[in-house]
Amino acid sequence: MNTLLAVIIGVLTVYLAYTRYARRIDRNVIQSDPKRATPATLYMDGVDFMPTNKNILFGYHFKSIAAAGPIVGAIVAANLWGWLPAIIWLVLGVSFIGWASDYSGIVISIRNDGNSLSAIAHRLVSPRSRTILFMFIFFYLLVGASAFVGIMANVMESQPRTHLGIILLTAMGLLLGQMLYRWRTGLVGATVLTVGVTLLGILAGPWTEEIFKGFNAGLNAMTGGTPLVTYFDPTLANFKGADAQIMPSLLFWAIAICAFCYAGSVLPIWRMAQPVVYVGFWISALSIVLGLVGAALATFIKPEVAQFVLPAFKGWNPQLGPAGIMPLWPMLFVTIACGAISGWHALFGSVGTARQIENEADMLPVGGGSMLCEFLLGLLALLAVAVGSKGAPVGAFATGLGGFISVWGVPLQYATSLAFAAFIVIVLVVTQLLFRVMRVTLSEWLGDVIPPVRSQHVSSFVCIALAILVVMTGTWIYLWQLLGGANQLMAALALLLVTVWLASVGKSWYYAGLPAVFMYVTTIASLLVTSYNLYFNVYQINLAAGRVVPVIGSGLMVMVALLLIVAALFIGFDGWRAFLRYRRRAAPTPTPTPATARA
Amino acid sequence: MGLRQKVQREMLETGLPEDLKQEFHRLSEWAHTLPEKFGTRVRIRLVDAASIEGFFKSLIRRVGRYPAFSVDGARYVGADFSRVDALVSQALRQKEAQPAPRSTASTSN
Repeated sequence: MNTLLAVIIGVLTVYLAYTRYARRIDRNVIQSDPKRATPATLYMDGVDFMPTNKNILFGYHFKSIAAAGPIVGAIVAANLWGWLPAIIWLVLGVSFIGWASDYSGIVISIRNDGNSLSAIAHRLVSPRSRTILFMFIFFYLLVGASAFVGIMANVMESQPRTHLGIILLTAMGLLLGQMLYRWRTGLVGATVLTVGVTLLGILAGPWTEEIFKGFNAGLNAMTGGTPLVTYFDPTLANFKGADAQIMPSLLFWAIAICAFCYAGSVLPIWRMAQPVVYVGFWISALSIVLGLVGAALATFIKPEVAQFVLPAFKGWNPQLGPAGIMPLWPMLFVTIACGAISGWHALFGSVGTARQIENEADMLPVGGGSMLCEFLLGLLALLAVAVGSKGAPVGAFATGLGGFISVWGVPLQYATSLAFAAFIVIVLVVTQLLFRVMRVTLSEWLGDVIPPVRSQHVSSFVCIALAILVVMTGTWIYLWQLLGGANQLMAALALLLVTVWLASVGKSWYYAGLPAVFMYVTTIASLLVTSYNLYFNVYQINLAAGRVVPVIGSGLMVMVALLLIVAALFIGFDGWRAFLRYRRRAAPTPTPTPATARA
Repeated sequence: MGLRQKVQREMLETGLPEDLKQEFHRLSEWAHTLPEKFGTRVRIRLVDAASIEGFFKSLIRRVGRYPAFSVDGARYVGADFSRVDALVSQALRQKEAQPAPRSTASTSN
């Protein structure tokens, strides 16, 4: 297998899924009508409801859904089960489930006056489903933010070559905000300066590696080389399990990342978040475009970086043993979420994109099209890790992506630095936004009961403290799979809601209903596996060793997993009853299937 | 108010410094007067200068300061909206002389 073949498979998947399946559903089942008024045109208020050109909206939707998820998931899954199961799930998932979930999240909102999924669930399913969904969001964000802080802190601690680039990204973001909004400098010049300096900082990373290595060593010397926390991590030592140590340098970088996110969350948008996202966009876009085209060209120009070195298949349950269970089903399907299917997309599509669609004919290219493009990003991550060298997953990804970028003549060590930096930039930009949404959620949720959390500083500190606590428990893979479980559960519930809605309006529901059942059963099974792994392999072992921090953290994670299962059972039960109710009501009139509708 | 609206409004409120926010409000008020002045003959398109699209528009149209207006290719940079009205009127007169589709005014802010 080589990268060219994989890229061809990817492009064919996008073409066939869009033209042969998605368009057919749009035409025959949903029957999108360009003449029907959308909520954006009916309720235009300049804030939420705003008719927007489909090309702009495509970029906006894609930017909002395609972040760290498709990259991290593909990297982890390829390392656990091999590249073949990962690529099969990416292709089948996006073709039959992923685009349908994104597209339907937009459709259901547009056909229901621009209401959010929770509001529609309240009306169609049951009043309590709305409350459950609202509480669910906070834990979902907490697990997401913790997973991202954890992986970034680990990369930054182990890769001192990334430090200069990230420090300069922050500095240049602040400078850009000052230039654009205070000094009113032209955008072109300001972009060239800030993106150029950041890029130089990233490329100069290898030269400053020794300086930052010394800095990390200095931090660790503060405790005389003694770790701050020691815990048992069953996923270490090739899943045989070993004691892991949190050194002061790791905690420093975790706190530094959180400080960055805190500033991004409480400072005015123009001062930091917006300009940092803008500079970060250029860095990540440059890496992705050079990498994707490089992956296709590598077979001809630099064949040594185009051959897969990762095993195609590592087994159905490769980690059975002391590290706990990791069966391909259901765990692969939550480890790779974005890129195949993601609940975040449906959630965001229903409350964001749907309120800006100016024409029903735009629903498919924006919703379905963005998801299919995100699949290509997941595929790029998978290719990078498949051709990368052995070692830590993110390291293999950066080596692989660096190899693709080096096809353009950039020396490998600089190209790899760019790949590492692109990874951190993509994750960092998303994490600062996650913390902003999380603090607003917390203050909305508990503000009336605990008034101090209405303060943006207090709520931010609470969110950051919880995230660091979860990071300190280690077992990052379980944390990622918990996030995947929460995310895919959201996708299953969104598809379930779409199924109920389709049944309520007498339309064929199979295209959403069958994936909903698959994702619902898979997600609950995965959450049970994750709870088992966390309880028996982390909680109990650390409890026996008297280690307080990992016990609290893993206990919190088990509690979140069980809460998610209970929430899923409630919503599933209510959804099933609502579905049967609408089916009975619609029974006298046969529901047209896509085939009969076409005939 | 829903969660998303809270986040969205907070982002909008802190999206611009106070002076630029005032300027944006004046621009917005002026844009709302266009249908009254020119009916449906004018279509306005607002482009955020601090965006990827804004970058390419600024590069192609060689704009270094904002707000900047482009009316069927004719350019004006500044906040004197009567000058833009004049450009639109001029463009419409030219259109009337030679039958063509609607005039397009785009602005970067």
